[in-house]
Amino acid sequence: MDCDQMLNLINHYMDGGLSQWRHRAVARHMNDCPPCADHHNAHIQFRQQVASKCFEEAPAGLRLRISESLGVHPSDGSPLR
Amino acid sequence: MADQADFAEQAMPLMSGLYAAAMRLTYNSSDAEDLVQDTYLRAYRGFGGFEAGTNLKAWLYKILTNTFINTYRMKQRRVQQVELDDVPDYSLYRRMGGLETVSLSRTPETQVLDGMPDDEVKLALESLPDQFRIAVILCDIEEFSYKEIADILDIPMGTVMSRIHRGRKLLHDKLWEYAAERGLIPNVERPAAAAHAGGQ
Ligand SMILES: [Zn+2]
Repeated sequence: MDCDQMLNLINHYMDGGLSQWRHRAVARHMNDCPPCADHHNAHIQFRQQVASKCFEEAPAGLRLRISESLGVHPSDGSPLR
Repeated sequence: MADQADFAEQAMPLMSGLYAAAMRLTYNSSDAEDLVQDTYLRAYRGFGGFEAGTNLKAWLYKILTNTFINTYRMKQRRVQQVELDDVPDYSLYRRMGGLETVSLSRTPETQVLDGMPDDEVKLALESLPDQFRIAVILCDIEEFSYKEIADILDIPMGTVMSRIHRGRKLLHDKLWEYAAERGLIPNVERPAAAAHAGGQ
């Protein structure tokens, strides 16, 4: 596997969408090719950054309304009685 | 048959994730709250028919996305037609100038993103057309597998993959555009499109 093939598979690799055989081939390539390994890390980091920057805490009012309509405690969803 | 009493205990801890997804879909907190509340009530009513042991989180996101597509999107009346052709995955890599410059363990792009306010990252994600935005949210933020996303959206795996990959590329490009506007990009080659727009 060369770097171009590797780069075409990197999204699938990262998402766990490759067959076992191809997954292993990508992992082997990255073992021998630090630039591709770095590139893979950059993708993962990027993903984590986007996820953490898009975090939202559910508003307390919403939590309260939903738990009231379900008849449970807003903190952990345990039954009121 | 699943017990409705179990529903709240399993579903309540998932609320912040569902709310964040709803915010990115509806663009505002009052619609997002309504969408999440709708989702919980629909799920609660349907929980009797939900098979215990199957994926509650995936099921909640299925209800959320369906409700969004059938109700809220209609309300927004946005026309969003984007070609579904597949794109190569390595735009980020190409943009950084090829193999030589990628050998930095902390790449400029992740540094750039570090320096961006949360609100701009949210805006960038919100700028994606629905189908790509939903795919990126489910995969990159909620960490569902291709298979789970295919089930949630009722589309084939191949479509899931092309939407995720296309969506990521659109998101990269948008973030890069914002970063360039703010002067956050260090001495790295500009993306081809931006370079062309600059003249010559
Ligand atoms: Zn390589």
